[in-house]
This record gives sequence, C-alpha cells and structure tokens, in this order.
Amino acid sequence: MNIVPLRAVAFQILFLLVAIAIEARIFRQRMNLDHKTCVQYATTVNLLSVVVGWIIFFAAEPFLPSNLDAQLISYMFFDQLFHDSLSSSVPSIIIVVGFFIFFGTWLLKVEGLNLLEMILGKKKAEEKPEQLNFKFRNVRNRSQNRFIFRGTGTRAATVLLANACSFSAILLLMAIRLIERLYYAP
Amino acid sequence: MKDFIDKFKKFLTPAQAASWQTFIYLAAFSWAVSFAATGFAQVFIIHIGWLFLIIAVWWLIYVDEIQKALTFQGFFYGPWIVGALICVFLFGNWSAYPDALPYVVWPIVSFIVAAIRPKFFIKPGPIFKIPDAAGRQDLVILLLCNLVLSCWFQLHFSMQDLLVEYPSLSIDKFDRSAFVVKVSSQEQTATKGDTMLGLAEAELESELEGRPWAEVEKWLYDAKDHMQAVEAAVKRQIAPSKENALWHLRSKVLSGRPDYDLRLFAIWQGPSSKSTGYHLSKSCQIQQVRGRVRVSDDAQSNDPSNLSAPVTQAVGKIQCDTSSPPIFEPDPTLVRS
Repeated sequence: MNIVPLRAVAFQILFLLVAIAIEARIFRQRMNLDHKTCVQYATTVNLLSVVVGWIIFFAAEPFLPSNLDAQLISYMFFDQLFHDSLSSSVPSIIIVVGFFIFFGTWLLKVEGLNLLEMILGKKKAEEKPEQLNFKFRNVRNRSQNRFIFRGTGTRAATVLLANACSFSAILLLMAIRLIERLYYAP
Repeated sequence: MKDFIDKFKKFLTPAQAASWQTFIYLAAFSWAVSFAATGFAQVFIIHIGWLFLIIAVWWLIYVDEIQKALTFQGFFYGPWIVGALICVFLFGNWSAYPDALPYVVWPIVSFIVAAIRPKFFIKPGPIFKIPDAAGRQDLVILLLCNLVLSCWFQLHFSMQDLLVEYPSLSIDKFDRSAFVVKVSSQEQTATKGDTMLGLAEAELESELEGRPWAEVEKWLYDAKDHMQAVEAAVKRQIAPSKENALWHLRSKVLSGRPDYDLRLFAIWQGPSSKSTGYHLSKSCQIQQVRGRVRVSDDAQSNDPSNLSAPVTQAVGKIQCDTSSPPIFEPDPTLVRS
C-alpha cells in the first residue's frame, strides 16, 4: 500500500460536479423539466459515462502494446510524455481517442436518458413549447421530413450541446492546471 | 452501572421469537457447535453461523436506535457495514481471487443490501416492493455511485499491479502526478539498479580478475562492446520483468596507466519524473598486480600443463565501491561519450 490514487478521485469528483452543474443548467434551459429532475438526469448520465469509461479502460489496459503502456505510466505517475520513438505520435493518438470519447459519451448520454426515463416510467420529456413554436415557424417552409428529423433530434442536440459545454469546461480546468504547472512549478 | 447492565440485558432479550437477537444466539450456538464437529461438517456449520450473523446484523441496522446512530448527515451507511460483512464471509478464507475482488464487490453488494429494504424484518409484507419513480431515480444514482466507487478501488489495484510490473518506478517522486499520492515511502533494501551493478561487478571479476594485464587492457579498450555481453548476462540472472528492457548497463574508462578507473552505470530509461530517467553508478579500480594467472575452468581441464606452471606475471585485480544512490541528473561523463 505505497500509493493511493487519491488525486485521481479528487479530480474525478471535481470534474463530475462541474459537468453535472453545467449539463443540468442546459437541460433546464432546453427541456421542459423542473430543476430537481434536471440535476438528477445530469447526475445519472454523467455517473453512467464515468462508469462505462472506467470499464472500457480496465478492459483495454491489459492489451495495450508495451510502448503505449510506458506512455500511460508516464502520464499517470509523472504527468508527462515518455520520450521514445512513439512520443511524436501521441498527440495525434490523443486527438483521435478524444474524438471517439466525445461522441461515445454523447451517444451514451442520449441512450442513458432514454433508458432512465424507461426505468422511471416517464414518457420523453417534451421540448419547451416556445421552442417548439420557434421551430415550427422556422421550418414552416421546409419539407415535412426535415421537420420530423428536427423534432426527434432535439433531445440529442440538447445532450450534444450539454456534452460539448461540460467537456470544454473540463478541458479549461486541465489547461489551467497545465499553465499553473508550467509557470509556477519549482 | 447496574442501570447500564439492565439496559443491555433488555437490549439483548428478544422481543419476539423472530428477532435479530434470536439470530445472534443462533450464530453463537453454531460457532459453539462447530468445535464439536470436524472436517466438512465443521466448515458447513461455521458457514451457517456466518449466515445467521449476517442476517442478525442486517436486521440490527434497521432497529430504530441503531439506524439513528448509523446515519450521518441524513445518509444511512448501515448497508455498507452489512456489505463488508458479506464480503468478509465470501472472500475471507479463500485466496484464489485477485486482491481487488472483495473491494470491487463490496460497493455492489452494499447497494443490493440498501436496495432491498427489508420491511419483512419489521412488518409483514412482500420482501421487495418496486419503489415509486422518485425512489427508482434515487436507486439508479445510488447504484451508479457505488459502481464508481468500485471503479476507484479497481483503479487503486490496477496501479499497484503496474508498480509490481515496473518496480523501478517506486523509487521515483510522484509529486506531479494527477493520479496518485505516496502514502508511505518504504525504503527498498536493494533497488534493481543496485542488483544489476552487483551482478555486473561479479561478471567483471570473472572476466578480469587474475587475467594477464595485456588481456585486461585489451578488454578495457573494447569495454563498450564487452558491456553488451555483460548486460545480457546480468539480465539473464535478474528476475524476468516487463521493465528489464528499459534498463541498460554502460561503462566508462576514466583514467589509465598504470591503474584504471572503470565506472559502471545502470541506467533507467523508462518513465520517470525526469525525462532523462535516472541512473546508479559504481566505480571500480582495476589494478596491475603481480600474481598467478587464473585459468578459466574449461582451459584447466583441457590443458593440465597450465596448472603446473607457477609463473607470476602482471595480472589484473578489480575492486569496486558500493553503488551510488539513484541520481536523477544525466551523468556528465556519459553525456560526453
């Protein structure tokens, strides 16, 4: 028992709180739900994506090639890249993986919300009426098909926006940490 | 005092036949009986006793006073005590599982305990009633929170496994890590670099000790090439590990004539708080002494005439210091080479 991942736990709690606060606010603005329900929904989908993310990580980690293994260790224990033949391609790997993580969590959150409402025995939360009117006016001259697509896509769009905002906020926090480290580290 | 004993007595006396006290007595009775039994029967009775104890504690935590005592800021943590008890029962004397398993299972079992509100203990009725929508929402969040807890436990054990696979990491500083904190810095008796330098010293001794001086000088001249053979020999002797490929042995001849100072380096080129890694060094003095030529084993058996030739001549003698502690700066003599 030499090391304990307490910092990982602390960061996870911080990021979860930030994400839940932001997403609950966006759900409140864009869906016809009361405040408490929004917080509960945001909590549920964010906890779900954390759990699914960890499970994927634990399942994939033993199969990492050993040079990526060294990169992962270097990042987790020393917070920096490990300089070897692979380190130049690490940023592009991170970007590709990050892309999949973003759209993966989006899908997961949309499906998670559907599943949650099924468990709660509710029907899909309606869009706000004024927004419906707005949309109706907006698409009056367009084809019927497009209207239906927009109508069913609204929930997914709301979750996408919420996801984008919470990811940006977390990235900002990580950037602040990086800057702090670069300028104020001993 | 008497008052307290009376209260305690009253507390332990079952109010009715079906109560938690009854199960405590059943557990104690099973435990007592298990002494009389042997073999399978004993194991069986002990397990039954455990089950009684779990039921008793499960019941006990829902007794009003106890429930109040186990509630912190409106959060009732009794189920996690029962969950821990169940995990001790399941994994206590069975070691054929990964270390992480009891800890990963604990939050999940505790969730199940918390979800099954055992109304049947107190009031008659169905064992499990599906809660209303608000209750279900609470249960979903409680389940996910417990799963996150399980993931954190798993993370802890995964990182321990990484340290077992890469033991050379553990002497480094983790100050900058966003994941881990060191809770105790246990002093390692021998680090891997230390072991490798010790083995390299033994290899050098068998190569150079008692060899004719000309051969020794020739060896030192080609030290760079010979070190690769030494490194391979050393790596065959240390415990196989994923990290071994990240260790390298180098040498540097620092001065010559008449005696040489050979510096041995064990260099860790794996992940480290310094991007250049760290190294340990050991300095060896190779002196010219007069003595008998030591003949290697196979030459001895092949050519007995060597044995009967007590010629003294200039031979090598090697003597090494103890190795340095890990140094996190690249060595200037190595950088130049």
